[in-house]
Amino acid sequence: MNENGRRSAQPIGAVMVVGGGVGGMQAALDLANSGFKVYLCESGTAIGGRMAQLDKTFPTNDCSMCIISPRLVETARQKNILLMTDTDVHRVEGEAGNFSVTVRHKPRYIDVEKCTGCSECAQVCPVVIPGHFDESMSRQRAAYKLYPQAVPNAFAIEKRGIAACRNACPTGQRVQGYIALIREGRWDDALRVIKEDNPFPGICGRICNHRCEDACNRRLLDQPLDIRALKRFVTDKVYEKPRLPVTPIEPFQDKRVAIIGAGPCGLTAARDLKRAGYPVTVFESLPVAGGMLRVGVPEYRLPAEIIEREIADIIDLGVDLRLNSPVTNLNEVFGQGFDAVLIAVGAHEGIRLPIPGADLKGVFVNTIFLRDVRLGRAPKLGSRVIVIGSGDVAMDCARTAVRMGKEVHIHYRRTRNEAPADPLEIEHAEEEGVTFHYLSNPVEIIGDEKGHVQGVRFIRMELGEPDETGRSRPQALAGSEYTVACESVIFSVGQRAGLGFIPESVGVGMTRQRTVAVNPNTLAATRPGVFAAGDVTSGTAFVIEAVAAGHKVASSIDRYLRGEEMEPALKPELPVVRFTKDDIADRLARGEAHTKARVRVRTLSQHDRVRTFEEVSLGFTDEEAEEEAARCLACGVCSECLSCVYKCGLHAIDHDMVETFEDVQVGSIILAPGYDVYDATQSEEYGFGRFPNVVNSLQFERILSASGPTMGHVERPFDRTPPRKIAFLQCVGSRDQHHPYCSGVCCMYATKQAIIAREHDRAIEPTIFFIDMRAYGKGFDAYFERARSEHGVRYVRSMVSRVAESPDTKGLRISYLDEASGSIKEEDFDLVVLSVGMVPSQGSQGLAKKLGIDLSPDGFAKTDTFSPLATSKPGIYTCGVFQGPKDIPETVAQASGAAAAASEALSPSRGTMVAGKGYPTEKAVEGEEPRIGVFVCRCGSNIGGVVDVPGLKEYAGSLGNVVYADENLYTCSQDTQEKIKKAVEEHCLNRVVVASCSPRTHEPLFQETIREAGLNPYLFEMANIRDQCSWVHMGQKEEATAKAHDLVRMAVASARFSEPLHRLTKPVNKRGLVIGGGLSGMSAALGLAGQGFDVFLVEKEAELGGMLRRIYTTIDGKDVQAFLKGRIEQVMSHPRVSVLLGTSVIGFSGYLGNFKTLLSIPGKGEEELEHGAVIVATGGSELKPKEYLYGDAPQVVTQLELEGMLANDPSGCAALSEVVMIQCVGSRNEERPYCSRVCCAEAVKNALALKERNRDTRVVVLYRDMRTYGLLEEHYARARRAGVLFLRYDEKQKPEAIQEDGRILVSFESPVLRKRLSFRPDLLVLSAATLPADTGALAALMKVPRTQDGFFLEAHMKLRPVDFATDGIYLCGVAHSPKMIDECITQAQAAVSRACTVLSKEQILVGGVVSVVDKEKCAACLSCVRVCPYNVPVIDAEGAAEIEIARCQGCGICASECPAQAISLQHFTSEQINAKSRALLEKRA
Amino acid sequence: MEISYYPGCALHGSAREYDESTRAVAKLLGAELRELPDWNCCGASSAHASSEALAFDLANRNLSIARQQGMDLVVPCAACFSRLRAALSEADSLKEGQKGNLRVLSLPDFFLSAGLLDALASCEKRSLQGLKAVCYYGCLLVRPPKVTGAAHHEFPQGMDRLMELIGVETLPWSHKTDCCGGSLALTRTDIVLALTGRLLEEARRAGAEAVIVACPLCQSNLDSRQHDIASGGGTRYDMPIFYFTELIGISLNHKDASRWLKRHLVDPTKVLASKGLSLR
Repeated sequence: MNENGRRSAQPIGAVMVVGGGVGGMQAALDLANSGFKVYLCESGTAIGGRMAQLDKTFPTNDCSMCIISPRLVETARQKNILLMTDTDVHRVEGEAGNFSVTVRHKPRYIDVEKCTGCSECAQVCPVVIPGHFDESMSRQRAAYKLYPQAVPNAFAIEKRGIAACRNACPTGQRVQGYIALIREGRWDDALRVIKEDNPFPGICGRICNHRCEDACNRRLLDQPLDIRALKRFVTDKVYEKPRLPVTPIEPFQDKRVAIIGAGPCGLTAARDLKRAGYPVTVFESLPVAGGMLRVGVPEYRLPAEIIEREIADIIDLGVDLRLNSPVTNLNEVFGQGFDAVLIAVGAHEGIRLPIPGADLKGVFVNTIFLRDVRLGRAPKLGSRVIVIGSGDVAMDCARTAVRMGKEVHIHYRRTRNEAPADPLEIEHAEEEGVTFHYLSNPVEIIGDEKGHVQGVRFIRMELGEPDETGRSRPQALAGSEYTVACESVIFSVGQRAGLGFIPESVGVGMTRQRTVAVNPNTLAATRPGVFAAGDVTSGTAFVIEAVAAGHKVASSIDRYLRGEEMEPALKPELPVVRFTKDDIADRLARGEAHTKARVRVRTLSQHDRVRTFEEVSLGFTDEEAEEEAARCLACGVCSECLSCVYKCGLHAIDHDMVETFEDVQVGSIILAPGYDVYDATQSEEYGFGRFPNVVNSLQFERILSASGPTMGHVERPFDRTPPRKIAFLQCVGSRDQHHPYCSGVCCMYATKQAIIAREHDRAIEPTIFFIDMRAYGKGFDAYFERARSEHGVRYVRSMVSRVAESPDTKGLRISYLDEASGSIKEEDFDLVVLSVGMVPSQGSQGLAKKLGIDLSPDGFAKTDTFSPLATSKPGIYTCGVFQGPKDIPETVAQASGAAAAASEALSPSRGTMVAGKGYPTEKAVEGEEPRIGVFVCRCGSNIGGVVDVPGLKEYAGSLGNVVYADENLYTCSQDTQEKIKKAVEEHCLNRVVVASCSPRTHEPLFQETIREAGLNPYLFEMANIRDQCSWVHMGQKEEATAKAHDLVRMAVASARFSEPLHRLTKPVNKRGLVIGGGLSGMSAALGLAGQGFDVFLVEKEAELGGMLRRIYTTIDGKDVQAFLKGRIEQVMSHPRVSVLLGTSVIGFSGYLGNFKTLLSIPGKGEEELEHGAVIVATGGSELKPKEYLYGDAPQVVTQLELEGMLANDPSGCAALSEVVMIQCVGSRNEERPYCSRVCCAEAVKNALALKERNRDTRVVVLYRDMRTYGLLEEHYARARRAGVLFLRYDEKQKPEAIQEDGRILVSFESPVLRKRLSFRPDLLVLSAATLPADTGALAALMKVPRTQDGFFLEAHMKLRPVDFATDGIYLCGVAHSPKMIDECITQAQAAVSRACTVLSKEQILVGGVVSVVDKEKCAACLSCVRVCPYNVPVIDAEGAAEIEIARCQGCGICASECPAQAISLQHFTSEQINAKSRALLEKRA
Repeated sequence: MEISYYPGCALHGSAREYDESTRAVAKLLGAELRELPDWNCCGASSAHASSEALAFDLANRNLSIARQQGMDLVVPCAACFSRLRAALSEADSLKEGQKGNLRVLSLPDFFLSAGLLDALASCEKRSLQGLKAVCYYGCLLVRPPKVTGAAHHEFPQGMDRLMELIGVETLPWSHKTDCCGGSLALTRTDIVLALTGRLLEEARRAGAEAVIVACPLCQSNLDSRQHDIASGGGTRYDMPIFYFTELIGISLNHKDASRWLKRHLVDPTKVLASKGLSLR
């Protein structure tokens, strides 16, 4: 009911989990396994988070990847989890129970559904960038998979957007792409991608006006790249080789197209239309094709050979080119039955200025002059030639005339600055001896008596106001006329289209500028079926624009002929990468860019130039091209070179993807966005980012990792030599002015890294510089002690303030305070590792804003001690480092806890959004002769490029019982699954073998496929011919093929003996039992009840509350007793909770879902309860110290006693003038080697309370390490500010307390002050150890393990923190290890979540791959009982081993140990293993 | 462009070449330095160590004069700069959160301000290419950041940028902000010798042919102690110690450059000559 009294709608049975790290995955799995739909939203390309990057984990030194990898696979396979990678939360509306979340899917450019992770795209990708996963310690490609085990197993492309060069090009040339390919020396590939958008690379590589260069972001740094020259270089490289014949395209469309004009526009359109299947006819009036390219541009700029080659590549596609076929009247063309006509005649008509004498003999116009020269019919020129105009064509005319041996003058009415020609052209003309006369305009051409030119009369000009073109308008200076003698004049003042062949009657409209009128979007003229493009519509333009127009009009004609909508659909706008000066400055600062001028293209010497028409520009050499290409800033990251597109056999790549939005309805949201490592470049004193041998701890994880940049060899980044001395600097980005918190994990990970580094290389001498050693977690102190005593890790207690680099060796000098001598020492190291702290991830800050949840000043999500996983907004929960710094197990526990918290309110909707899956009935195959189908995978070229797959397929088909063999490009692709199912059907297969990659990732997929085909999933076998064959024997094709034969033969042999296995169902008793009625137990009981399950809460004492009864406030001042009272009331009044006080457990049996517990209840006697899951929350107690006069002197109390005094006798406490506290009383010693974790915070809390009662009370805390981990650190700082004295004592010289005249005298040796200090306190407070409850008997009954310290031992220290190895039994609170209040509540919620994965099910499936006992053979030798890590086998009443299949984990240890071979592991039977082994030893066929 | 200028005692005494080169190059780059009228001691020496109130009052008097002038104040001596900045933030806090609008700039920061930097970038100058040097900032120019406002107090780069602009190859080294022992110059020369000796050694190891400074105390310490170090049996470094303003002046081919350099104890002209840089 809501506050209006109306009944709220049923909540939505789905949860969104934001963040796919270890926390997000755990929350998602728990929720999905207890009946909720989960949307797992990850902003990166793969889940796994930080943990996937780690090498090992403390304190067990487990391989991080090995333990997280199964989680990844499980998450991917869980059908109720919808995995959304590349996705972040955009907007959230609604309220708890009914949120509407809009998520934003970022483009990945690779379709996750289609991608099989074969890696071929990355193999061909030319773009190399710093590796994300290796923290820039290695290189990766723009097409990448984050790491080999990444889930989803799909590649992604990193792309910032469209490069500015591509965006500027009218045809969208993929400039960055071909430059990247040039850098790799892949010239054919480069040409291929250029030709994708431009059929004239050789031409444009010479004469393009290169707008790309104007847009090049490099211009902000120095000069743009010489893109044009690089393009030409590519064609030079490819055209050196003989031209390969082009395969003609047979027309497959029946509509015919006519193109008038064989210039760049017409030919581009011809190519596109030919490719689209149309018969194309091109009419050209000249005897050569190429239009202006061929007859307008002089040979010395554009050799005819290049033009002819590129045109031939088009014509040879099967274009019907008709040379010398001028169209004199457009109507003729219509008469020939064409369905569409393209007018692309260009602008070949030169213009004469309307001045007297313009028609005299010896006066030429540019286009005609150049054409005639080009066609070998050059006109006779006088010795002195005047060219009028200063555009590119004018330069062509002038330089052509120079080559004809003439003296050439150019007259231009503006100045050089306004000249439209390319500056380089002007420069070349000047070099060749052309004289320029600026501000000079002709007024008359003077002829002689024969009507031949003899001079030109010019007038001087001056520049006036800018005109509409933005250029200054030239104005004539009156009276400044002058005459220049000459014999020839060439007008080069513009050119236009000759459109005389289009009579008005044909219905093709014209514009006032004498161009064909067209719709600018479609280039359709006013008569249907007629199109026009190029200079005839735009006026004179550049070749690249003609090409662009050709593409555009071709697609328009295609749409017209298909009868489609003429206006093209709008393409999505892709972002363009435009750098700012700041971007450039950043790159310079990071050393990713260096100033470097463009490589100048060599030219023919001036001397050689003016004599011949040989090409002036010599193009780049290989070295020059490489040098120039290396200047590319690769602005877009992905260069869009299309190499991946060409390579991918699955068409999974789409470079046009854009971001999309999706609305998702959920009942709750869990935020697990994780953390970023502190950016140590901000701590400039350590030189990170400047000194190559200073790395951060995450980078060092990668260095240690076998899959990392150095393959696990510990090497210095600078010179890749093994370091001897490594320094670890703690608290970098933690416990400083900007980060008032402790990151909680660094002491332990540095210890681990030091140990592992020494394991890799015994010569390494690690030193850890630290402030306090915060080994506060379970097993941490023992780990730290082992590091110190057994592993040779040196610990120096000193905060290092500076790292100096030696300029020659790049070694690093550290100065520190040496405690032993009391002086500053200097020491040199080879490598420095900065133990960087955790900062809330950048993404999480924006996320919090969008969701409207409160953050702490440090950016962590604000939560409450008593509901530690709830954010400030109802229905939104959090876990992991976003809630505060923490390690993996705490993150996992919080994640489970958050899952319970998030689903409690949704429990009425449990199961409403999850879908079961129906399968066909299984075919009975027992007794049938095996009919095996073998599917061999090429995995693109991963396998196919090494192993002879067709041969292997044939070989497989020849093996006994194989009735069908096939090969696939990608066996795991969706369509192949259908193929496999069909083959099972058609060939009556009853066993299936796939020879491909790893069963770890792919076996479940294929098992699912054959199940869908009606086969039992255990009738499947896999041969790993990729990871274990083609990848490792890449250079040995024959041997690899032979090995692949062996592997397939073995798999087939095993398959012959595989049998269907059936799993049994067992009902689940949906009640829970909680043992222990303290804070954790009560919280767990309430949690289970809140989830809708009945709970028994068993407490051995007469009342609930446990140790919490002795705690009065939290460190942040909350009233614990009020909270406790409320919680007890809730428990006692909850209808689903049955509380059994004074009760103890005396018997225990059963298994997951069906446990029986025998209780001894006062007044009732023994009673047996049946339940489906158990939560153990037996708690602990405070040690009664035996030292420091405790019990002998009344002034000596424990912290809990002081807490009671502070609550009950405030005035007495205020009267104290001096209080001394001693830490680690009974902890961290030989008897109890563990840290009690809570005492430092308890001491700080009580010290602050004393100071609050009376600020003049002197409070002294004697400690070994202040372990105020995580956010507790700020209270430690608060206490120091309040004047509490924290004095360290050395473990070897513990404080002494004696009684003197009825007073206490405490004295100790201060290692900092190097002298003995003493105090006479009114009160001596001992921070006594936390003890586990006495659970020996209970552990024996339940057969669950405990640590040496007497705490219960969880199934896995990292990833199963609240599970016992025995399914269905969970633990929480101090029973696990000492904990703070919020941690106990979190673990209780976590245990609830875990229990719900059982209790929410109606039944459980058991069996499958489990051990079975042949009781006849069993000798009851107890071998299996002893070796089973899960304590499953028992000797039953008949005296034989019994393995409860519901409890068996299928590890097979018992089967291998059983001396009588009475036990066998199903699906891995001796028969199968023997068959495999025999097959291996068989002679190779 | 005009700005108030507080030379401090050193620039009127032992560090006259710093004063002269500063005024000269500022003028060439279009800035007029207006010496603060009737300025007094900044308090960096004895006052700072003996009386908090006196230290503030001395510095604050100078600030008051600067406020009356209505222009920002540039301070070439790092010690003066530190005192005046400290007094400025104290004075600003006294005004209960109301920050005054007087700005106090160090000399490198003044040269890095937009106007002068552009002027230096675009003016005609000689490149000092080939001169390898380390920039030495010392302690007070950038620290403590709360006082100096330096964004990169552990790894300052401003002087390096200026020097790169005139072609000096500034070498990376880890001792930019180490202490030279300036405040102990007279009282504990043994410490000063150790500290300066070490700085010179590190500069040499980094491959420097010269050290560039922006503080009269650093300059005199590094310059004058080389003789003592050598005569005490230590290395003879012969390392010239330039004020950055002198090098800008040399790059701008200022006529007085040779006069400035004559005041140095370690002759800097040799290294300049080896790079083909003659002085007018």
